[in-house]
Amino acid sequence: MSTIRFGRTERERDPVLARVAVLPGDVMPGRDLWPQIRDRIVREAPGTQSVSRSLSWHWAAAAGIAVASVSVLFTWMALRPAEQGTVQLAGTQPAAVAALQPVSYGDNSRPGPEYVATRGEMFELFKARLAELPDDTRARVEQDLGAIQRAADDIDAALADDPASRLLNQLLLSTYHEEINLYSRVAATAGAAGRRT
Amino acid sequence: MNAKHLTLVLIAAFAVPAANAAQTIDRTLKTGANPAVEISNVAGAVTITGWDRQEVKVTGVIDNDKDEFEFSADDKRVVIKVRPERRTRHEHDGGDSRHNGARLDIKVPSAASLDVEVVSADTKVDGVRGSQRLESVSGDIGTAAFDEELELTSISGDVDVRGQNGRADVRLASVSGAVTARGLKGEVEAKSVSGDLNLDVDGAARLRLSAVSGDITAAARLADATRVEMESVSGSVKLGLKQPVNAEIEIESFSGNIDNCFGPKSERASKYAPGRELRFTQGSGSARVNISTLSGTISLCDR
Repeated sequence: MSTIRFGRTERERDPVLARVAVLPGDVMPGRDLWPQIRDRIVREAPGTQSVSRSLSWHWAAAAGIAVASVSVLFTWMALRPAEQGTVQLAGTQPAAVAALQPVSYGDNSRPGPEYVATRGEMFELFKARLAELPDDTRARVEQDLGAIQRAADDIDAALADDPASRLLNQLLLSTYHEEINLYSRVAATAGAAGRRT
Repeated sequence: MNAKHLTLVLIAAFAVPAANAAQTIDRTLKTGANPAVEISNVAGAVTITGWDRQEVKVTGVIDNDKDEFEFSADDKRVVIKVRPERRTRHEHDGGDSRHNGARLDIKVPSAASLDVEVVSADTKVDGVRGSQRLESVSGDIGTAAFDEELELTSISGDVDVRGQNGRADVRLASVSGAVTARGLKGEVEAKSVSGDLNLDVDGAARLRLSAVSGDITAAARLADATRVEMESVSGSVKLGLKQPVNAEIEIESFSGNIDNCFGPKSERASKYAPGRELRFTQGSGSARVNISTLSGTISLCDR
């Protein structure tokens, strides 16, 4: 190991610095790097940047929803006592609950397959918990699911007129969130008292 | 009284209590100054009051003598649970009037933190300064906020919180119940699907209110760096700002009207698509207000 001391005299005596001194002042790259740089600039040009940002925004939101949903699912599965493992199957649920469907999004607002898959698992858990609720509470939750469906329909219709609207895309994301929130609130809240009592 | 009458009286005396047998609770346990108190109950009511003793006292009536009452405490943790006797779904729904659940009056150290889960029981909290997590399915929740955080969640029950001059961060969520809050100064987040949100906040650092079809009404005094975000799909949004108002304001609606008492009028967001927007700065513009709806009417006023 060589120690570089301060001061001109010491530098000139240092063997490492002596070798550095004979190196060429500039070194050309072995290949032309410009084409790759140009491609990257074109890929990130303003016209394409918003799409890329918008996609990552959607992916981030979808990932957030997925993490929250899976977290609720696993928490419920972990905390569920053995004797309560008998979640009501579709066949034993009240007819109104068994017939429930998740929110249906139109062509202009259809979520990605990851969202649909995660939502499917959440929805089954939601239905099982919903079936255990008193009739009046269940009816209100069903009305709320209807309210989210109407919101999704309205947003989808509006997106047909203005598909690039930032406001509409923001409201659509909020609606995805609210749908998942509804399922997870019912699954977590309705299940909680039963677990702890 | 003849033998026949005596028999009827005896039958009534034994039969009625058998149907309506209740447990009377009156117990006190020692605990620490700020224990974590865990409470769960299905139906009835839970009233929790903070006091200046290092004791937890539970009084009340459990309607069914077969319901199991659990009560334990050490310095750091207190558990109070009513485990209902297994009943049919019809009875759980309130179809059997003999079962009204448990009505509990609980006193805890005022610095305790609370974790309460109920199904249809109403929950009222007063004078508890620790953090609170209160969850209900259909029962109403009411509490006071001091400096520690609050998280109140309900499906169809109403949620109500009153600020007590502290800076608690508060999260309120309901599906179809109404949410009301007054006098909050910390960060406030309130969400609902169809329930209405009605808030009056005083210098809150952040205010985030969202609903799907519920109406949002808020009155706010803005601090210098307050951030307000309000969003509804089809519900109306009404914001009253108390003077002085120093804020950058951005309002957007796809098809709803925008009414503004401050002067500037909304404009079309685009020549080619529907939608209106309004952007202006009031005073120094130090706070920020964003409001958006799809079809709900937006109203902004200084009163």
